[in-house]
Amino acid sequence: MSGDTTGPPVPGTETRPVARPESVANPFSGLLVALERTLSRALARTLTSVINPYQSAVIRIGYAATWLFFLLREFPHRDELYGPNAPWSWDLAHHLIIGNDAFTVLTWTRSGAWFQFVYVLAILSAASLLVGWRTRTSSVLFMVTVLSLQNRSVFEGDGGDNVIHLMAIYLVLTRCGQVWSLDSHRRARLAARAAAADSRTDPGADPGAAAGPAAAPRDVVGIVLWAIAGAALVASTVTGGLGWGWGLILWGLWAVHALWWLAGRYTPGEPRRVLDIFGNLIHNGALLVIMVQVILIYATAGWYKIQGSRWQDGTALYYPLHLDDFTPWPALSHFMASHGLMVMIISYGTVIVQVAFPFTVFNRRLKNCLLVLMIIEHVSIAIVLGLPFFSLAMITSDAVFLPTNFLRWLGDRITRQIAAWRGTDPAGGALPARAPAPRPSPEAAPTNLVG
Amino acid sequence: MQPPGEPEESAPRSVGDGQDGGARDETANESAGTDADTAGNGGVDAPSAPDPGGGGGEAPDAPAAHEAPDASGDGDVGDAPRFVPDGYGSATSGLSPASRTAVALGVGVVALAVAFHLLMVFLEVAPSNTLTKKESKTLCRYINPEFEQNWKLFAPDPLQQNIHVWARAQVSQPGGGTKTTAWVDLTGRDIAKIRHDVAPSHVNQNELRRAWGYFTDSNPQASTNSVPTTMDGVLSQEYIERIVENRFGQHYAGGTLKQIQVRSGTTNVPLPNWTNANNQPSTPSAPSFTTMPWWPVNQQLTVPQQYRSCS
Repeated sequence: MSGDTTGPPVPGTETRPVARPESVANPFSGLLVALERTLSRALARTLTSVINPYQSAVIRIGYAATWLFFLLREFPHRDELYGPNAPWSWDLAHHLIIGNDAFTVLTWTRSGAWFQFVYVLAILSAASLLVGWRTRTSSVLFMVTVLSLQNRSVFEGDGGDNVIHLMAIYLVLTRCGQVWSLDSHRRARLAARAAAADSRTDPGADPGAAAGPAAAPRDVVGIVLWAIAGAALVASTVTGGLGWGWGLILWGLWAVHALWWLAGRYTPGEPRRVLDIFGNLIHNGALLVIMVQVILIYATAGWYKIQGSRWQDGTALYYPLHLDDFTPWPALSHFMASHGLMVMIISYGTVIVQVAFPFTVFNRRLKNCLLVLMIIEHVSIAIVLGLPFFSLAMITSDAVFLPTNFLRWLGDRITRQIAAWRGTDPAGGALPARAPAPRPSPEAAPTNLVG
Repeated sequence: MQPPGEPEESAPRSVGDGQDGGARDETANESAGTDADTAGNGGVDAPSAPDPGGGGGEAPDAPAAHEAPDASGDGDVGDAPRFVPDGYGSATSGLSPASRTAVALGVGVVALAVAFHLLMVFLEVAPSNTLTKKESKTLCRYINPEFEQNWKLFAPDPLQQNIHVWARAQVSQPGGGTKTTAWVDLTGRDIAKIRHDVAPSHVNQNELRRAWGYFTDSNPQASTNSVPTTMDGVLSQEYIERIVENRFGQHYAGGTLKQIQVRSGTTNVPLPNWTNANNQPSTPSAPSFTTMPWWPVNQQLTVPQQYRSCS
């Protein structure tokens, strides 16, 4: 940009036959500095902030809600799906799992009571992840129960289950409870109380990135949860249920929780800050993985469709609308299928959107347009093809790309609506979303990773 | 082979045979690019950061001095104050050399882990290629069973036939003698339950459909009375048997279940009416049946050999 040091050519010096364009600025000058600056800043942001806290909260809520609704819907069928005497019996599952090492606590024992306990635990963990109560613990329990149930009966699942399966793992690594969670409320409340109680300690060093450590009262619930988790881990390790791989992971997570608590309580200075940096780093890495995973889902779906002759001739949509398993409303499906032009437009539109999406992610406007289209399409799939859980999981996946200001606006609207129903003042302290008290400055800015 | 409906989570992985390798590679590069932006550079920056013995606090954040709120987030406006983070040095400033080393190492490890995971996931969804053939074992072991990917939603082509699983039974009657019951369209029963349900159950939508897919994939010769020899063959046949037993019950049609027989009835979805000249709705063809041999119920499950996936 500023590499142009030579002046304009002096009139008398054009003795050289071919003027070499030496005066053109080197486009690469300053590139390294710019690159280094960009990388350095990106890295700093990766270490010091939770990128996309609202998107993370939305996907936490979305996936947890999807799984919760699914578990409740299947409650009458739970034994047939995952119980010890399911058609996919305990023995069948056991044989398959010996071969592929999938993680499930349900093959530890044939006990029916154990299965019922795990199913109820799955419901509870989904509910607590949904509301963001003890998000870190809930997310681990959520992963454990999702994997346990799904791996117990792999042949009962579909694409929606596959999405939940992957995201349950990724969510454990994200700080998805920073906003719109009971945890963030508690943190805000504690911070407010601490600030009101005394101003002699300086909480400004790290205003409530997690529970304001120095000022926090004894966290009995947290300690109890941690102790129960420890006891469960001991039990499952001694009984030999937990293999070494998953044992390492779960014990590791448990140890990290202890480390986090200890650092917060006894060494609020540097160790606490380093842990926070690691938390951010891992969150941001996991969020990137989630985003790329979603992009790969669409890319795969799109690129493979392009090769299909039915998608090429624009009749593809007609066929699912005539598949018995996916036509809960046959009259509606057959009506749609009978309009050739509409079938073609939707078939082509689907392929175009899916193929294009990965490339539009870097353009805010285009991306948002496509997101609207994809969400509309998934709502339609939910109804027309009778795949509500799959669709909800995919809409949640889309939401990771929604713009922050939209999400905050939506959250605000919902909060006010709830407040209106409850007849409370939305400005009242105890309400969600209005008080994203933790780390106000970074979150006030649009911290979308991809615009 | 291509099961109907939405992406499947089948245990036997199906490898795509596409010719779209080139285009998909571009997708990967895009993703890898983003990756490098946020995390990947950690590997580059990290070594310079720790500077263990060196003098205190000279953070390598010279570039940060040149910091202006340049609209790097093209068009990413809307919220009031723009947060402009400082460079890497500021993120770790004030930390002891040991902490800074730990952070730098952490950045490197996370960056590598993210890059490796995304590479594996990409290779898994990519068509079979030079790299996946070379590293198939590593890839399979990493992806299965927890990171499985099956996103071929109605792709490359949607299924164009309805497959119904039918079953009948031979029951021993209380007074002695046996009776063969009539064929029952089990899939038809499921479909009746799916109808007008806003949230169909997996039991009705997936169970039989996917079990049949698993069975036919694992037992291509099933209808010719061959006994399954592979583990998947045995497991999937047992699965179908158990589904039928579950649907019929041990006491069925006034007797006790002795043997069952299943068949599949395949009906092609009629061609769209706008594709034929006179615009007449074409009628569905009669189902073509494939009938399996009789299977005795409640047999001891003997699994041939314990196989390990990805070996």
